[in-house]
Amino acid sequence: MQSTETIFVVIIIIVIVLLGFVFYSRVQESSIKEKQREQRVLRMITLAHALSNWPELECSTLESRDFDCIDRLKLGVLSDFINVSRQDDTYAFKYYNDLLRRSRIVITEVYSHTDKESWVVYDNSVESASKETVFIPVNVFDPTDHTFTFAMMELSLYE
Amino acid sequence: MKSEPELDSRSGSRRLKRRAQLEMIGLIVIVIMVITVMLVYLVYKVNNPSESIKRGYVNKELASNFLITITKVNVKECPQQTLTDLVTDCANTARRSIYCGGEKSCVVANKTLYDILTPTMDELGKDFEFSVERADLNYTGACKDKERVQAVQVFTLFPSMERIRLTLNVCDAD
Repeated sequence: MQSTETIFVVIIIIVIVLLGFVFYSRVQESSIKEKQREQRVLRMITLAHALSNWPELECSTLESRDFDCIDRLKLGVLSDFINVSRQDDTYAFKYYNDLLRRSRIVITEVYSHTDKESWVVYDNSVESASKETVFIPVNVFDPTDHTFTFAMMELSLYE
Repeated sequence: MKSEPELDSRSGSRRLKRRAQLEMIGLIVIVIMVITVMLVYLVYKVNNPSESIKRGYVNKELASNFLITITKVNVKECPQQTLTDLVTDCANTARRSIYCGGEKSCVVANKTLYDILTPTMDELGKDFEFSVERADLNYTGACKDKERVQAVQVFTLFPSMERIRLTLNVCDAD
């Protein structure tokens, strides 16, 4: 009788310990997923800031680089170039695909002294995938009249 | 009268039962303690969620990036002037000289800041406030009683070389 009680007590304690492990592993799993998501977002933010320093996009006045500034003429050329490369499936698109993967980069003017424009710089989106989006304020510089407008860069990452 | 061995076996079985009851109570206490610890942990996690990097960036970097990019913008009413030119002229109360489309620099600067920030912040689900020292430039009240993040841009006035601050507060919209 006594040994039965002891066995029963031991089994109950083992069950409690197992439940505790299951609970802890569930909490850890969601915590790890959240950290992975944060790392993805951090990479996106780094990429967004790096984009305005690409030679293909950066604006430079008298050799000094501007912070978060994109050249309007370069922007038009690059977005056309990437879109045509994608349609023709050339090496150029593969080069940018290696850098940008499954993402979408759109720059939309919010305030301009001329007509507002929007550029789809890169679009390798997937309809069914989950999406993470970051918005970065940037200046669009027109080198023909040396003026700045205000735009938002929308960077979306698909998983 | 009962014999001594009978009395001993009765008290012995009573003791055994008592011990078994105490063990069960102990087990129940352990179960309750484990459940309480789990509940306390869950409540703590729910009430103190860790701030994600994204939220941290959006709330802190957004305000300062906005100020840096907005102040460089060329104004619609007079494209040869930037917002910086209008803000510094507005703050230079003794020597205001810029008129933009027939309006004073303060009026145009206020309107431009509002025109840029309103649609952008609405899109991001944020509210904002801005103010400039010594200038008739402010839009306040939207972030009252809310947790806000502040960015400051410093301008230098000519020829006095005094410094003024443009302050932008960003908070979550209701």
